Amino acid sequence: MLPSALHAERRGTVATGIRKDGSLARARIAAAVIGILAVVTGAGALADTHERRRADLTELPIEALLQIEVLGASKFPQRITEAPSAVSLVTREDIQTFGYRTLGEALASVRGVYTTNDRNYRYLGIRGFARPGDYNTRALLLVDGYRINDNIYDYAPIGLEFPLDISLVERIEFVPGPSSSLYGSSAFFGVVNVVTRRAKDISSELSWYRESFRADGLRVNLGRRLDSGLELTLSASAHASDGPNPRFEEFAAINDGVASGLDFEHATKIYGRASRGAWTLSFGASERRKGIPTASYSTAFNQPGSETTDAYQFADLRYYAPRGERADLLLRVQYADYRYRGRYAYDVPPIVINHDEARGTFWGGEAQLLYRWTELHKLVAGLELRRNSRQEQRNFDVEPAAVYLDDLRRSHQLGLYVEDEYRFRPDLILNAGIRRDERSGFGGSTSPRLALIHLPTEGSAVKLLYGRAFRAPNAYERYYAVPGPGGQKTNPELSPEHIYTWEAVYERSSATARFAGSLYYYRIEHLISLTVDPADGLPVFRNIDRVHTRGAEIEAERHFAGGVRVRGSLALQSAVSGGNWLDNSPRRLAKLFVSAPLFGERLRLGFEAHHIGDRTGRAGGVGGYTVANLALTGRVAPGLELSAGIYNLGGKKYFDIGAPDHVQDRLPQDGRTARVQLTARY
Amino acid sequence: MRAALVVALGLALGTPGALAQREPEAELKAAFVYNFAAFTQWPPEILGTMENPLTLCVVARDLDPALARLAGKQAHGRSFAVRRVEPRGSLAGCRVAYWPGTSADRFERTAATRAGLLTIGDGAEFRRRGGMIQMTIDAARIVFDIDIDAAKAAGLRFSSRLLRLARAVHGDYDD
Repeated sequence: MLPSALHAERRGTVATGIRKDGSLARARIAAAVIGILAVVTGAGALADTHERRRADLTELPIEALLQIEVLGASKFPQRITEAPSAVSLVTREDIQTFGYRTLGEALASVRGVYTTNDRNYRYLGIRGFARPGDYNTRALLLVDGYRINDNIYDYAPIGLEFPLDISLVERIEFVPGPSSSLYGSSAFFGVVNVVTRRAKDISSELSWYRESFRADGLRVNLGRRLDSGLELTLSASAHASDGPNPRFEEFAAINDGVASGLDFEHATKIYGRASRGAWTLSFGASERRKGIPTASYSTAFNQPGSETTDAYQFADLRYYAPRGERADLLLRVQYADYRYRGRYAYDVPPIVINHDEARGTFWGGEAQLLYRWTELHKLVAGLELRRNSRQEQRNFDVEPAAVYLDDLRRSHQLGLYVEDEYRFRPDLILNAGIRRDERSGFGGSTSPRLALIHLPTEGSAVKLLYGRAFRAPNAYERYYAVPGPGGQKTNPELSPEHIYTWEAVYERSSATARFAGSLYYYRIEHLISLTVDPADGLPVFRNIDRVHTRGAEIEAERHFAGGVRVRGSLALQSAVSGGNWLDNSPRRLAKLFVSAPLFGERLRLGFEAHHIGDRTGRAGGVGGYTVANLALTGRVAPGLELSAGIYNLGGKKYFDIGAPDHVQDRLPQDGRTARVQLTARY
Repeated sequence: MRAALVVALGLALGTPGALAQREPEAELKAAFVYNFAAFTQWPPEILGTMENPLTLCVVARDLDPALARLAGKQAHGRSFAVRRVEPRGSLAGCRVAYWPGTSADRFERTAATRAGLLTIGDGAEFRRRGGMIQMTIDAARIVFDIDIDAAKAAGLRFSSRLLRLARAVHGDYDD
């Protein structure tokens, strides 16, 4: 992610703007598609209204019975009410209804969560914490329970570099706050678990889409369940886009501030899963190549050659089966390999391409036992091992040859955890967990967690939560160093960060409505920050900051007659360090979602609006803004589905905050864009 | 742009969409019990002659009318007979036994394992206790889990159509 800052660069200043360059045309096409869709499907019959009749349900095929809803039952999954945290779910239906294209867009719909974009990577802000320059190291990203964060930067990929295609997602479970007592380091601000679709739900799918900025995508998903019980899933997808030509006022002296042809993005992914009985094997590989138009790290502006490639490979084997009547055993083994290749074009002069590379490989294993002592008492105990067989960072120039960094490490980690759930009254659950982690070079850390859950009525819960978690410095923070002026130096004395959290949650759901509210206070100690050593002026990571974050969140959802759903959330948060607001931390986040069927069930509309409040940053920060998206999905023929989406409906000009590696104080985001997608299913 | 928004929202809220079909829980579960029996294969010698009814024993304090209405329905060329059995009562003569609602808590695998008896029950623990087909409600819909090992022990097999629709199928597949 980071090159050497050895090479110099000049700067400029003038007004900003983005050339829409074809995105407006795409938006018009999408709007036309939406109109045609509405007319075509509107010609279909309107649904009949309800009439109570004693139907003989035994006359219906069993497939139809599975679609019928139980009168009076809540639509909201009940199991999460008893979880020792506030869980948010984004389902596959949400992803399709609102037209989410990446994991980041889906996560941005969760209350208290926001994402930012520097046209190279996307960053996750949870509860007011998203410092410019951080790489999502404090969020743990899992796919079916397997860790995706690499072992160099601990980066959680939420854009198109995420190794799994969005169409394979069954649901996303988001748990805010530290869950270190189960998961160890990186589960600091939250855990995201992406659950994949079952093979039998997939059948055969072929999908093609076209987006603004000459973007195209193609994906194939196959799922089969054989009579022998073997379930197979295979998926392949590709995306290619030219991207816009954004304009940055700071560089007005070069090409009028326009970076041409540098915001491109190409991604390919493959994924497979085979499961039978207790065994599941999953594997995949992905690669994403992204151009950098922002001239970050003092690279030459509007100069081709600056780009990053992120590649993931993984294979996981899991065994999960009951052991007798009281116990479930989980055993798993994981292999993961992450490669980063950065190319940065510096105008020394002449143009020199700096190579910044990293490779992280790890093997992991876990054994977990769930044991039910009694109907009221459940215990989970586990052991997790990880061997980081390679943690390599390099930085060098080829022409003329020079090597600035060549660091190779190995390390290992061991985690032991226990969690006990005791329901000592039908309406009162106590959940206590503790985890001990040993990391080579760091000694040990202990992370306890306590939750008291009171269930006053069916479907409602009051939860009091306390937790302490830690995050060990990653290989990048410890070992990345480039010598000389403009470089960066290491700090082998770095110790882990700690977070103490207190939270109170209230949740309630009925057949048609759901409400959730949280109050929280987080105290973070020894936060690892990039500072400048006064002795030599070099940037170095130190444990220096103490941060206090406090906030309140509420969320409400209601299902109306006719299938209309409305959901809204508001988060008020304040993240303060040393008496100052944290950078890139909005004090207010508000979201609204409306989804409705049109013309019977043939068309589905999804409308969402996000409001992000003012954020401080360099040169005063950026103002608050509201962005809305609209999506329509409809079946145009048996097995053929058409969807259209318009993103940033109002064409709002809004900005994200520049990070230390940017000349720009603020980065302009895209205006109105659109996507049209055709999916064939059989 | 704002006008388009208003129109879209008006369309959405004004159009009466199709109501998802909703039925009472007891009726739905009775229909599932009927289908489970229809998709189970018994060894022919157990079912006997065509005159023998397919006896459904409902293990509960009260017999729900929806289950009572299954009497006379046809499956495998035979008629259903529906009988109520006291919790912990004898299951002799039953081909299908169903433990609805809280009576599933009193299901005991040892008493219920008999050659040719299909066991169906409600709740998240039924299968773990040794039941063959378990029904639960997830997001307002009925979902069912199947245990093939328990069925094999009683000489029963399930049609692949049923297995495909189960939320989860437990047990060994080797035949």
